[in-house]
Amino acid sequence: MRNRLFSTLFVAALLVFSGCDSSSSEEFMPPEVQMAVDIPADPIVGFGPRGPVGAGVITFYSLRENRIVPAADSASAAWDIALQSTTIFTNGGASGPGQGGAQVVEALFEEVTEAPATGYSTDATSGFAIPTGSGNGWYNYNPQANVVSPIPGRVLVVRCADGTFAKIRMMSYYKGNPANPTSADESRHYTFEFVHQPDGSRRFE
Amino acid sequence: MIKRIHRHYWFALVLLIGPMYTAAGQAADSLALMEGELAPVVVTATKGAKELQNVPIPTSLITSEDIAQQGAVRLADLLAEQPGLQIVYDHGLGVQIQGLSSDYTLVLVDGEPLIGRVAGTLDLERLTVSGVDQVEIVRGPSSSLYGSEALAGVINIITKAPANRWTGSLQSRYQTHGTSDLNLEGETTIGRVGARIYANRYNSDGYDFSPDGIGQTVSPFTDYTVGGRLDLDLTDRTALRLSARHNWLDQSDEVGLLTDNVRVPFDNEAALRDWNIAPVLTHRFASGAKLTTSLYASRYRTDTQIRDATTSALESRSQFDQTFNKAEAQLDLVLGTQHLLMVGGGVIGESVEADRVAGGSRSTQHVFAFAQHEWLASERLDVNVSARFDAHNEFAPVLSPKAAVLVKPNERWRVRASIGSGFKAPTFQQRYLDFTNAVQGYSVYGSVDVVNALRQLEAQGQVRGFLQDIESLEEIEPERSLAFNLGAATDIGERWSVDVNGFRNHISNLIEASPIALKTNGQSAFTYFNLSRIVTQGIETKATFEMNDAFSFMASYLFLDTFDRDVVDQINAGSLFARDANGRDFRLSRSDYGGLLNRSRHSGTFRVQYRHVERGLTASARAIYRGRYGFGDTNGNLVLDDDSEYIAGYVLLNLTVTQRITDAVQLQVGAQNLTDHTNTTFIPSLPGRLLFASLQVGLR
Repeated sequence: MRNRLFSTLFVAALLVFSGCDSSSSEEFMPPEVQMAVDIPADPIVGFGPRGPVGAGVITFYSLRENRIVPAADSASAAWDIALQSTTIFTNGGASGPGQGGAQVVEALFEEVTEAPATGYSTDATSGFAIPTGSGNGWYNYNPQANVVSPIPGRVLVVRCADGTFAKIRMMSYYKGNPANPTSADESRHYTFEFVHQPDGSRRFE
Repeated sequence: MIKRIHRHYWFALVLLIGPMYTAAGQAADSLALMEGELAPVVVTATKGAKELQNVPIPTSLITSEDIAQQGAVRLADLLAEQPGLQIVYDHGLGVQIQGLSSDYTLVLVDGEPLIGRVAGTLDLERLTVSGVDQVEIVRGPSSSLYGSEALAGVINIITKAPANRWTGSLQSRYQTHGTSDLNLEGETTIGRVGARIYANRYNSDGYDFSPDGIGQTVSPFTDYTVGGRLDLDLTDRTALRLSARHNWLDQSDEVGLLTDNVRVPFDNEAALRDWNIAPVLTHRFASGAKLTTSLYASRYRTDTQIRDATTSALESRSQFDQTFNKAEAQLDLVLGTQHLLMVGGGVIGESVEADRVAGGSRSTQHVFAFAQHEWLASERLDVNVSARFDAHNEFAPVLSPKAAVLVKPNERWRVRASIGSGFKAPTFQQRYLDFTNAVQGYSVYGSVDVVNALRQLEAQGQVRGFLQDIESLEEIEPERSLAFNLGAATDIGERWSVDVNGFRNHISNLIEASPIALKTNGQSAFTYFNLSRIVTQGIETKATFEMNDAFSFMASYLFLDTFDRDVVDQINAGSLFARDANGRDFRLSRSDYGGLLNRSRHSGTFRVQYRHVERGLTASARAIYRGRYGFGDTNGNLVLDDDSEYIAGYVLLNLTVTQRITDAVQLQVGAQNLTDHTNTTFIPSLPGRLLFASLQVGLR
């Protein structure tokens, strides 16, 4: 919250500043931190022989517009990431027609002031740009508690379908973003904060 | 308490080469006889009899008198009160020594290893203290004499030798939760033959912390143990000892199985059978050399059946059958007046048969040789070097050296220092497991069969991709340790004694499961790798004070620091993070890291004993403190850092009062966990307050 407030103040200050001095009208405008709340990712509908199953629904999401994209547009560049249980697809390679890709950066969200120039992977049949499995990508699975939790200090830097960049910090895998989720909470609902830079540059701040 | 009697070093020589279990008798010099007390003798640390105070390796001793005064009936109860030890539940009650979990401690009966570990834990509740003469606890690695598993320490349960005349005893003990212990012992020696037998029945109704759920927290069980030994003096120089033990444990309860997403009770019947037999032949040559040859056979089986509660139809059954057989010879030589040389070797055959073992059953062989040289340089200096070589048919050979020194700068001080290495062979599970989880769909393969298993999986079209070239997979190696112990013991006046020991254990090559392939069902296939490195270090202290003939006190404290070296590396590199209560991430600092789970930074014991010899009364009260320790991860980074990841520290109070009624009859009452401390969520293995009463009748 503090960070958002800070960003808002910063933007406001810039506006005031630019109003005073017309020469800085091309000053960099940092994009805002946005929130995506309780985005379903194939919620559990029943139990099969291999445990909980969803309906096989993939949720397509546009970071550019901060909204869910209808599944009918799945073969387009309208979406940037897609969510199905713990797997995050990006719109590129084997997953979609876009220019999408991603990498996982070990840092605090605030520290990623610029998307890396290189190091992006795209989804392939052998594996995803955002690696799956506990400890490999964005989450840890605690088998004792049967809880999936985002790994602190992991920033998903995503190249969107149109080649613009975004950074994502996962906050929760459970509906309502509970502070201390248990296996009784409804899983497969993503809450995350993100910054999308629409101007095509790699700068986030 | 036993007074220490100073001896000359050559006397120790005689002790060392004497027959193991009569060494104390031989050592009884006139002074000791006059005082009516003997210096305690131990056999584990140097694989030969030696006075406890002359052992250069940290060793503690629990005598049969200690066992009787505490009123313990199972080994787990007994060890729970020992300084520096921690009983931890993980598929059974195991013992944590120097911060290492119970799979790193070797448990022996008369020098022979017990088998039947579940998830690494050898359940100490399985072992009755009936027929036990003393329990020796050696801390630090002893792989240089005992091989695999002796990294953290060795616990050796020494059985009683037959008395020289007919005696017997009957003891019955009743305790909360319908727990009872019935014990019958008898022994005699006729001419050259001594015999001793015992029979023990231990049963309980168990207890339940969640009566609404299916099944109990601890299921009802009945446990029988019979055992004994036969000592034959074949000639004046040759002796045969035959010891045997058989244990039956049966447990029945309900278990809830998921049927149509609802838990339905099923009957769960489990049986455990475990026996071992060991003939040992010793011959003392006229030269003073001693040859000990031993055979050891042991078998451990479990059978668990789950049946429909109404139709009794078999729902599932799982069986486990393990054998361990060993032949060993050991030669003790006396070289001059200052040198003792021991050489030995043997062969071990092991087999396992279980549902989850690839191919159903497997067997392995392994040979070993060891040597120890002890140099009694002077009255003040004792140097001991030893090494063992283990060659196994499934992994690389291991050499485990150790060196220890005891320095006595003066009459009152004893300084011990040792450096040694230990190892732990990959377990059956790590070698042979072939398991696919029916619910989640992931697979785990033991290292011996992983390549074949993955090739099969690939042929079935179930592999999406390999994470590394499986043809270049390296065989897993035994886990290794390097350990340092430095300690000192001293007597202050006639009444005080203090013992301090600092230790540091470096364990490397820790074996963990890690993904090797992605399956087409989205899950992973795992196998075992040598991955992590941990360190445990700390200071063990113990002080005893004999106030007068009636009161004595003992206090102990263990400071323990443990960590995973890779986690520390990550912290130092700034790549390990945590999430605070407000959901913000921050970089973890070294002081945030709480080390390994299940380790208390602070723990200790306190004991006060009272005895009135004329009235035949003894009483003891003990407090066991366990400081807070981590149970798991709550904030997503899988390391111990947040306060919410700790279980609060606690104190258990135990009390025992023993009154002799007549020469042959003794009554004992007591309480364990007097304050009724429980933690039903995190420590279900800790029952509430237990009250007991027992009656012992001597037969002669």
